[in-house]
Amino acid sequence: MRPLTQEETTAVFEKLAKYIGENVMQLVERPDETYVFRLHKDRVYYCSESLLKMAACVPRKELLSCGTCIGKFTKTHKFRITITALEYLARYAKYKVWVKQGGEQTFVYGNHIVKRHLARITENCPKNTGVVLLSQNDIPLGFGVTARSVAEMRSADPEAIIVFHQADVGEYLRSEGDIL
Amino acid sequence: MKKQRDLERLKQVLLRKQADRATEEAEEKKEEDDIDENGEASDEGEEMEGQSASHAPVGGASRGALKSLLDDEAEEDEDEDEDDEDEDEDEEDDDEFDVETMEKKSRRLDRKRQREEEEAEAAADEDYEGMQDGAPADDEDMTLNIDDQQDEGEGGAKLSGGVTMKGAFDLGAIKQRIQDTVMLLESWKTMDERARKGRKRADLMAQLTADVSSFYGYGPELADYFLKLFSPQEAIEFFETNEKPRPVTIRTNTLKIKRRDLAQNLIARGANVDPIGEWTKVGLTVLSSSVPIGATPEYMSGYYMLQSASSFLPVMALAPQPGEKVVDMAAAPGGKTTYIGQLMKSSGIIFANDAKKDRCTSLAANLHRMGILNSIVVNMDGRKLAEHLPKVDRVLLDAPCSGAGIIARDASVKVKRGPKDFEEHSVLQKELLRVAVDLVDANSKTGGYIVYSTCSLSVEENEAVLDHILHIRHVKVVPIDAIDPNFGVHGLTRFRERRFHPSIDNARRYYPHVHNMDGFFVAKLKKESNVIPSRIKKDRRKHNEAVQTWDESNITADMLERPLTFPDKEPPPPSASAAGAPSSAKKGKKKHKGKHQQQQAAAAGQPPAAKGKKRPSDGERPRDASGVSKHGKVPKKGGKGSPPFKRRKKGGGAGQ
Repeated sequence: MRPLTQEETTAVFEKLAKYIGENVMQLVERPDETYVFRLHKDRVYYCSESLLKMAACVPRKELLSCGTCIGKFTKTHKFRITITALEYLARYAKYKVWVKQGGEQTFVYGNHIVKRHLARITENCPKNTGVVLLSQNDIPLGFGVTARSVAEMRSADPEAIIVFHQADVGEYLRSEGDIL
Repeated sequence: MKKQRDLERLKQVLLRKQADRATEEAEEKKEEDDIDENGEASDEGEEMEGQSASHAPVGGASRGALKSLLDDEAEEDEDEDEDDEDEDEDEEDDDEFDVETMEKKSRRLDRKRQREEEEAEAAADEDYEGMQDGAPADDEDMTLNIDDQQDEGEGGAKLSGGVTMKGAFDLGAIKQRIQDTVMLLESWKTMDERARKGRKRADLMAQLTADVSSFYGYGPELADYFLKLFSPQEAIEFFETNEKPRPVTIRTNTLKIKRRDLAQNLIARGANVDPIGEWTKVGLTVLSSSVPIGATPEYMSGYYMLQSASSFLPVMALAPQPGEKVVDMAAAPGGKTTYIGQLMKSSGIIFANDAKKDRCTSLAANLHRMGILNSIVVNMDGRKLAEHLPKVDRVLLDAPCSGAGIIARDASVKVKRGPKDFEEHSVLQKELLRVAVDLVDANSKTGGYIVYSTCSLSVEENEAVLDHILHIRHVKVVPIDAIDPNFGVHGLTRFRERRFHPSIDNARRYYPHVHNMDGFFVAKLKKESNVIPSRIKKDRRKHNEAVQTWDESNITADMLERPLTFPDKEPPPPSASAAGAPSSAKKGKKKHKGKHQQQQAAAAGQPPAAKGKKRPSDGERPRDASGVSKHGKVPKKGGKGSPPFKRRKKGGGAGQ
């Protein structure tokens, strides 16, 4: 478990900013306690300092997770946000997309969102932006990247993809072993 | 399912019977070999099915018939009817085979039937005699069935576990006999000697154990254990309940949603849910569901957790407070851990440990899914935790166990486990509980509690473990405040020959047949002090007043009156000094014991002044020649306490 290097920090924050924009600052400057990002076995964990202090008691080999796993670095040193970060993403998300009940099921099976399943969307959502997907009763389902801007969506075909799938809560069941 | 299993069992029994028959019908054996094996087997199977199907009515009818004393004939008729039915079926089946086979088969069947009829007649005669002895009619009614079966058993071959052959055929009859035996045993104490008819309770219990193990499919030892743990009546209820699954229950994640809202959401999805009971505010029972309850978007987003009702209890007992440090020592898959996190409102720190790495992944996934942000997942042997973790406020130990309480969930326990496994598991459990206690800070302002739970009902894994920890650590078993004291059965303070600390009464047991949840055991311990009690080391130094040294004051007049003469022998070379290595002292120990008496007598015989010099030469350690040089030093240095004397203190058990 070690602090992130300069490059890693930039990579992480750039990625997070895609979903939560300037709210990234709220992750770093919290009123309750200092929270930090730490790298452990290629995964980035977000946890409070007191938790970190306690985790230091555990030998590195035996430590599996500390706080919340935000994402992981791939072998090519790219940063990927994992579904475990949804808790924070949903809290601070800038753009949200609500999907209809029929769309919930297809999305949590790993499919993209088509226009037919779109129930609501945050206004002025631009193209290629990270969005958090919610069900109609506000249950966060995952996140993705918009394929079109809101204006384009209006004129799009009902079967046209509007949000590319990135991660969904179905992964907890589908690939539980890969989460950590 | 059950019927299928019963059929399986019947098939086994049949195979055995076949083997028995083989010895009787040796001359026919050769002919039989010609018959297609498979065809025969399937034929037998059919025959059996016919029998088992007709069992239930026959069992009931025979019982009814036995009620009146003179209806024996009616019973025989019934039997004959049954046989006829069988015959019909057999013949139908046989049509598929060639005539030759059929002929042999029918001949064999005839012979078999004849034999059975003879047996039945003999049994009926005996019964009739028994009745004429003049036992009260009521008792007779109750016990007849048992007698019946036992008598037949004498005629037929005995199967393993003491089950009679005919009895094994007839599941209905076994069930009936179990019920009758239980009734008999329940009223055993009030029953007069005549009604017992010279039977012994132990024999009845053995019979019941054998019946239970064959009817419900338990290993004989396990069945015996449960019959000893419960009263016969209760044990049968327990076995019956284990055949049915417990209701599916879920726990609301109150960090994300209220139970009422969750119930609404789930009902909207087509599930039928209800609160579990008065004792929990977060649990829901899923009565029926049109969607898989473990794959709804609510589940995947961590709004609830699939968790058996019994797993709520240890966490409720632990009652973690926000801001505390809590350890869950055997956490995977995280049901209880996430409940802890929920009660702590995501503040404080949770160490979630599990020894198995692949189970840890599901643990971590569940913690993230349920939005527990303050957890540390550790994959370590629980026994080593105390070396690494800091002192914490509360520890939950849901110890790995034999699973004797979750037979409804995992039927393999029935045959896989036995009293021996209980003992084996308890070794690890004791170690883990000791570590759990060591992890807790007794001076914690809010906590200092340990909760020990298992999903086993055996005494070895529960009360015995608690009793052990009460002996080796400063802890006490405290009542569980968070759960209604009337909910659950008290922990046992005595079980057969074992006696446990009275405070173990504060622990709680939960039974499937009483509380409609998995069998469970929960105990809450409060740590009293951080001091680890250890055996007090014996201080053998001379300045310790408690140590009594052997000196003149120990010599009594009586000793002086009886001097002992010693043979004039060359004194063997004395050995190492008082300060000799401890290892050598140990080696010498055995020798000393034998010579102890002699020494004492010698001490009495010697004049006190000479003692210091002479003592070592009395033949203590002949093997150490190098000790000679040291020997000279000893009296000067040690004064009174020369080496053999010191050792003798131990032998004499002087004042410790």
